[in-house]
Amino acid sequence: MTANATLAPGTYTITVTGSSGTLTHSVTVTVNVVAQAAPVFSAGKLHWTHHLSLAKSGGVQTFTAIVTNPATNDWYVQVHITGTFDTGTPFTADSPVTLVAAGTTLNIVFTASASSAVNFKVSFTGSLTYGPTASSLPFTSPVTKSGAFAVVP
Amino acid sequence: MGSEIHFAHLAKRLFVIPLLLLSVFILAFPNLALPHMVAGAVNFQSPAPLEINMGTDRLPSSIHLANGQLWLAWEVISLSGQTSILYITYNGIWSNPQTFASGPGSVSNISPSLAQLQNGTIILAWSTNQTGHYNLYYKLNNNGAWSGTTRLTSTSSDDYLPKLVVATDSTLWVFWERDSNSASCISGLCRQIFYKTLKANQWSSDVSFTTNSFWSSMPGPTATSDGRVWLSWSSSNSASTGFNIMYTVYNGQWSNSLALTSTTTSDTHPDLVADRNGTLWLFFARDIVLSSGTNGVSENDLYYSYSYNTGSSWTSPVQLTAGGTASNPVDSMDPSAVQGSDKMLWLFYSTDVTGGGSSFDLYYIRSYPISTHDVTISSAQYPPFQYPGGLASFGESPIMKINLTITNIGDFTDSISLTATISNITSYNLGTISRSITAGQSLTLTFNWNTTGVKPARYTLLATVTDTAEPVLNTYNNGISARDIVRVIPLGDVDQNGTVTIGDVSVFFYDFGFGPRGNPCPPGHCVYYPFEDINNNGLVDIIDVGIAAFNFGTAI
Repeated sequence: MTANATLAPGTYTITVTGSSGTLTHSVTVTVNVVAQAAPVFSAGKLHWTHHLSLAKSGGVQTFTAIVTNPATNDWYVQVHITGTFDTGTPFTADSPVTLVAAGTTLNIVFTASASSAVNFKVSFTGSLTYGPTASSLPFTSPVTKSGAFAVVP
Repeated sequence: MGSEIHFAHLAKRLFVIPLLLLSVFILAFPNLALPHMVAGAVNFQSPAPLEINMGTDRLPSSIHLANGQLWLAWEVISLSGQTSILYITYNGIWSNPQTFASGPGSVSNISPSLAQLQNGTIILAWSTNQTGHYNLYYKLNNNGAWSGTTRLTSTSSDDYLPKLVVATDSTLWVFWERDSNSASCISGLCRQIFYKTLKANQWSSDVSFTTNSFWSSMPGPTATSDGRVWLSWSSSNSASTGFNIMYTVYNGQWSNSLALTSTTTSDTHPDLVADRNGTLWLFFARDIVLSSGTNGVSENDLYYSYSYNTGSSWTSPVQLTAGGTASNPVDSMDPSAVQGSDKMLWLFYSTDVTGGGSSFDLYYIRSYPISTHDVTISSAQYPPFQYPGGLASFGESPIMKINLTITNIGDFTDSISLTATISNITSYNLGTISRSITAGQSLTLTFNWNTTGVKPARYTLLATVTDTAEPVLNTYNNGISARDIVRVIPLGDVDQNGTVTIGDVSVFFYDFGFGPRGNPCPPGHCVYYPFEDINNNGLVDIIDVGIAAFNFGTAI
């Protein structure tokens, strides 16, 4: 018995009916569908440069997310960074969609530009969306990770 | 017309002179002058969560409404990257968040600021890039309904971080940061503080408050009860140094800018507020280095300084929020403070302390109740008219009784002195009454003004209550000026309209000889009308008629 990965968790009743000629018999089975464990930042780990030097980096921030998939199935995962500069203007960055195999931990590395924020700080929240295919990431991991970095000359 | 002079100048002098004397005393005896000097004793309670969600909550803006409610608006950026502005209200309990602005799509609605106009209207200004550049917009809220959107600035630069304050003269001030590109600025990026005002329904043009080559960012203004407008902001004179907090004061013109902090890291997002005890508070975020090296870690923590002498001196910064560690930094920033009607100072801010740094949420810290000394003249009562020397025929005394009610809205029993003056061209000092008044008590004190020989005119009543324990910023309600409304009317003005007209005099001639007093009034006309018996001899005689005729044409 298999179910689509997007099936909502809950209690389902399955009715199995067998028939032969005029003879019919049905049996009901109760199935509890539980959510597969969500991928998470491994030990809350999301790395970035806390003092981003414009001279050294050109204002490009590099994020490294260490993502663990504790589920028994593979998940496609995307890391999102959303936050604001000191002015309140949004700062966003998305990693590539990455396959994280069941029971494994993977480093996902991606970048974002913050060159306009010299002497300002960026405060952000990192989150994970995931799903069964690269084009379908309907779930959001309950674990987020916040942080901040300063942009220096 | 009766003689008149402009009493506003006199009122100002009567108010300013004690302030000047107090200022001199403060300078001479800084440790003795202010019995309310307990600001350092203000303690803060533990932080408490207010809004917890998975997005990034930042830049709260708080106001205390005239009806005692608190309103709080802030910016949220969701995990999907959409910015929104939410707001909640507090009336003993917090309301659910309501969306003020959100989207659509790539449009960002950021950095809200709240204020209440003196007519009760609530205004919320914010920055949005719906035209391609960030400009300022606002909406008004009357009786719970928001108006349409009005554009406040139009620039091809970017306007951020609007901050609203309403001064005691009803002027609405809007301060903000304007960022533009120019080779003449630090790193080719100009950051200047701008402002504009709304006065008598007229918006001024945009004014560049800072014009030097420094970066001037993140304005944090406040308005105090003495009519002044204070502006703090973060200033940096080069790209290689962080920000420090500067401030200046507007009292008809801007004072010189002064530095409030001096740090080797960076002080940002200043917020000024005056508490009910007249203490000025500066809250700000300071960058604290947790580890050094190639990828050293730092965090923002909230700090405060305060001034108990309206800015003459400020304390050294004190750390308010607890920090984290290099492996688990905790940022606290974006302070917005307001004095609540519950006597507590409320400080709202953004922090990622929840869940060991899982997202930025809104927290608040309250002070314990702040006690103060505060007295006010809550009412003034006096007769609607007075004849010079009184008119005995209808029982009017030559002594006008002026009742002034003093209310102690502070928290202590105080000794007060009440002084009253009646003025036109001639000034009459009614004296000083000293009493003790307990917290919450209202006390009516009576001044006697002998009007014998006083010239008919409209007089101005000036009264001032003095409480030596009262902080300067609480003295704004210590005086009244009832201008030209104490009426001493001429004899012969039988209808008390302030003028002896032909109608008044005609009545005297018509009633000449009527009397004696005590006779009943037949329908249509009195045989004895006491306002006509000026010499109080029981009938309207030639003396009365003569006085009325003499005063014919006298007006006040």
